[in-house]
Amino acid sequence: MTGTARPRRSRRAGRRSLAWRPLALLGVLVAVGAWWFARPSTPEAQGQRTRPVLLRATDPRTTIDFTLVLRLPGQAHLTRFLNELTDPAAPNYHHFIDAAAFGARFGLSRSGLSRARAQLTRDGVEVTASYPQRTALDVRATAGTIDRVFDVRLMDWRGADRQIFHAPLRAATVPGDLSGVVSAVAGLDGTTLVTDDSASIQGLTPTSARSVYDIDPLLAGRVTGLGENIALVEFAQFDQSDLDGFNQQFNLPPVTPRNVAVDGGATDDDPSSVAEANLDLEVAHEIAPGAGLLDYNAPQTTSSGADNFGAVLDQITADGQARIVSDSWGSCEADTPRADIQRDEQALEAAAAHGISVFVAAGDTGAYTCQEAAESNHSLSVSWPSSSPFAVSVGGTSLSVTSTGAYAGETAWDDTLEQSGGGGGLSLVYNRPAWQNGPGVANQFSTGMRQLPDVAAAADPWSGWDVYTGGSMTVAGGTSAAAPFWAGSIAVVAEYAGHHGDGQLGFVDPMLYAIAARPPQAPAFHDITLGANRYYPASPGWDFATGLGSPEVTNLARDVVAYLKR
Amino acid sequence: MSLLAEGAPRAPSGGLGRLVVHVFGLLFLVLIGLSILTNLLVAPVVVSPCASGQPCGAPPTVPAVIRETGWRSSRYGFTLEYPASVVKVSQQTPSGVVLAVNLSGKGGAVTVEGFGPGTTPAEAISHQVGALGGVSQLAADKNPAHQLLGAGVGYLAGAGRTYVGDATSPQGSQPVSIASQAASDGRVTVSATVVGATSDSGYRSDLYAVADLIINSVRWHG
Repeated sequence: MTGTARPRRSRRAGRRSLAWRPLALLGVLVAVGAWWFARPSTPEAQGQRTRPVLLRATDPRTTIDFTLVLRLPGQAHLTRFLNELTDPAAPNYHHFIDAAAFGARFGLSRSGLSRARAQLTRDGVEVTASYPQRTALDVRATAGTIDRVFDVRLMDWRGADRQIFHAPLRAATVPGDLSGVVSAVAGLDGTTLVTDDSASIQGLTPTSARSVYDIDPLLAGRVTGLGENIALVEFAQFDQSDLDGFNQQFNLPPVTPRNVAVDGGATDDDPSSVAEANLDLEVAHEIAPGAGLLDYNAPQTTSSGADNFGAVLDQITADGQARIVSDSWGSCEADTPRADIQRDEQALEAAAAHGISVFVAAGDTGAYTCQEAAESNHSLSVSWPSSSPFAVSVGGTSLSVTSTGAYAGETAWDDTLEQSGGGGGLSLVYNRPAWQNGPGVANQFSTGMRQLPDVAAAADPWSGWDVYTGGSMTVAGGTSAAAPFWAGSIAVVAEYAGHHGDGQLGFVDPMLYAIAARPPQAPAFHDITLGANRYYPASPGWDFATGLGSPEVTNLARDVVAYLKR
Repeated sequence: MSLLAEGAPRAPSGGLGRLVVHVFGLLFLVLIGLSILTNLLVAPVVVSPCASGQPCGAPPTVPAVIRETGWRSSRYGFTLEYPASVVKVSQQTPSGVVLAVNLSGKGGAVTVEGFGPGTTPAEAISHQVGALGGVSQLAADKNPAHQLLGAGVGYLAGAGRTYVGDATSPQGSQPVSIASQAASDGRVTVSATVVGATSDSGYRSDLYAVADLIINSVRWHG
């Protein structure tokens, strides 16, 4: 608190003071001015959104890209393997495997895949892409063929934002001759459009961010994330000139992210989408200026409107160039078709087996993620893929800094009127993994399902991040910023661990919980105990609003080294 | 004591003089002690930078500050903060304050007021909204999209209600949205009501951002 104003001479006291308030309010309202009167009230202005409108049956000649989720015959072995991968006492601890080994060990046999391809060709379904981890086949067919082969009726719909998308009237059925190979058909239902989790108002400089989250000592020791690559999942093209402008503004080293186009590459050039891509890259770079940046970009959706997350992540794993991934995009878990979730989850499992950590924004509407798409939806809900047990879910805080830029405190991001806050809650789909344990994890809200977020960082737009986009500086927030911040932080931690003789960090979530549960000699987290996320309160230890908290990165690096040397 | 006595005013005379000197000396010591204590208590928390290779120690746990302009209720002791660049104190009493928000020439108001512990949050809201002047056709906002989820004040959970109405001014009448929240810490109940025009969702979002900041900044016994 600074500059507490002395109360002026009071006119009335106590409740009777209300007598002057009507006049005061009237004065304020007069100031609103005549500007308002000419403006008609629209449904959008009142926060009303419309349900999708059914238009017609999809033209049977329309070509549609979608995905066949492949069975993983070795799923039971895979589950055991993934548990052992992060268990220091297990024989498979940190025995990471690449995408091809994952496919050979847990996926379908080559002959099974060949038979499936042949059957699909006979059915008129073209295979457009496959992955060495054998998690999915990207396919293409006409709407008529899809209706016939998968026993659906594809329809055209008009969404709330007037976009036209396809969605079947009933769930697709895998035909008998493919049922031994294909477990689900994903990407046919375009109802769920992914949204980026960012918002904007005003800012945090790289210098301040590094100071408040205790990264400076590592950077001073020339630990900058060198040797690490951060892959960013993007559905829009970033702007190199903006990135250059950002680096120039803050005297950061220049960087040119490597462009990796998936499914033809991103085509979205809407300024808000470009700003999202710029934000992700700039935040990751300012935290880990020595790390390489890989821009994995794809169209935001397939032709039917489903998201491309699984395809992008499978590509990242198959390429094997990055151990750290940041994803600022997500959708309401409850509204995401289970087949799409299954497809993404297999990609996440393959990434974890490869030792990749995927940091995913937990959403910006607090405990009510699904309200982002439908304001009247008041059900407690979480964001997908943030709710996956193989994602590091990143929630949001409101950060306060002193006048000198030092850490002054943090609360859970909780803006009731704006309907915003850090995402967090319980998954409807996945159980709480065994490693999600520690002080505060089992609490009055726990049900046995996956709990999120895992960690948090500054996200409130009021205390948001400086971003250069559209040729000028602006400020942006949202868990969109918190996810690449964490990705950058872990890149720095990974380099530090490497200098101390430790190898790959692997999927870091189990390690973060183990570190948080240890006696806090050098606490790795700011435990955030004030605020809420519109429902769940922040509290000592882990909580549904901020998870384990925000990082003290230098302490975290030391704790990681100590943990790996046990 | 003798050193202090040398610096003290000369005693008027005899035993009484010595007593006065001792009292003054004692007072002087107490004052010095108090000033040292005060300095220790109010000095800013200095966080030592971490030295490379050394443990950093515990992270700071000072409460959040927003670095905005502050206001304190002299009657109830709660404090709040507001961004002075867009908010001005319009009216105030020992119990509460009306803050006028000006966002690029567009107005709005946030009223924050304390009530005694006998007033429930719901009663505080009813009282505050019922006393709004210049607003006609006041009615509950039945749009479920406008329902306040997670209502509260100063990070204490409480009650929240939304209303619609028409604000009357010399220029005519215009529709307004009213969102009111209240919470109690058992000693004081604080309510906060935001009034703004409804016809521009961008403006309303900005107004609500400012209002959220103010409402979250409430500290109960500042």
